Amino acid sequence: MVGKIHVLDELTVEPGRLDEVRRLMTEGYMAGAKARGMTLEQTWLTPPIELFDHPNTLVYLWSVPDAAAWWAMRGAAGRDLSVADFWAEVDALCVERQRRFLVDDQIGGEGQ
Amino acid sequence: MSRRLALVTLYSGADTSRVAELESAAVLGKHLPGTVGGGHYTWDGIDDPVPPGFEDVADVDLVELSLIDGSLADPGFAGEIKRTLLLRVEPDAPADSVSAFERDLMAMPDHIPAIVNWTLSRVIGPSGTRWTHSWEQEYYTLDGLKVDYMMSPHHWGLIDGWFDPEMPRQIVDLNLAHVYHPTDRSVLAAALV
Repeated sequence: MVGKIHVLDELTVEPGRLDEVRRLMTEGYMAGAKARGMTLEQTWLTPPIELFDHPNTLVYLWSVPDAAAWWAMRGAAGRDLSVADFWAEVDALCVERQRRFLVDDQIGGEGQ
Repeated sequence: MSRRLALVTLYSGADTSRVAELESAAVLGKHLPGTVGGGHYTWDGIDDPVPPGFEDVADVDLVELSLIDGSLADPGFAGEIKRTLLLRVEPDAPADSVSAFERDLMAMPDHIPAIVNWTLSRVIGPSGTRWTHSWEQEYYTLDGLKVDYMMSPHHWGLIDGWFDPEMPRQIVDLNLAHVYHPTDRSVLAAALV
């Protein structure tokens, strides 16, 4: 049985556009994500200083409690047409974007 | 060789006696709660899509299907669930993405043993239909669909990326017909022999 699911967003941002993407995520996404059941666990920047001649990557790690909560998140995003519009706005500022889903690895068969 | 399938939606306020006639006149699968976007019945294997009087009580969304691939693991399947997903791949989707999407769907039965019989088909008609693909499965139990299929990490962790508006690789339109109904026979056996 799958327990907690992590959602990893990696936004590789055009040089000079980091603050715009940060602002978009803060003002245009986080409240809706919380309403859809997502908990923001951590954010990262890599490389760890803004480069103005090369892209930086912003990483957002979210979680939902289980697969049922994942479908609730997914269903809510599907019903809200503004979500796709939001990501289109972000994508216009990015070189590349990925979203991946992660679960605990069952190392030695003793995972959750 | 192609076959046809229709999603049937009753008009609001349809005459109940006419609806009873409709239900007795055709092999209709009555959709169960949880069905999304596909009306009230699935009508499989139809030859004449609209019997006389049918149009008074119902709208018929007919599709003609051309089989891509499928598997008949149990030719004697005697129930209990037939599920149909009609979907539309966006017309500007790259051809290699469409091929990868089709391969991913057809790999699902390898990861989800609850899928008994299955087909993936292209929608080839009628002209003007909004659908491009039909993904159909048969299950021994409703839990096979609602738990084994829906809650499989292979489903939500991999396949759904083609459908998810938050994923860069989404190519499937959000408006789907996800319908399922009880059955006491294999509809897909006829498509696969």
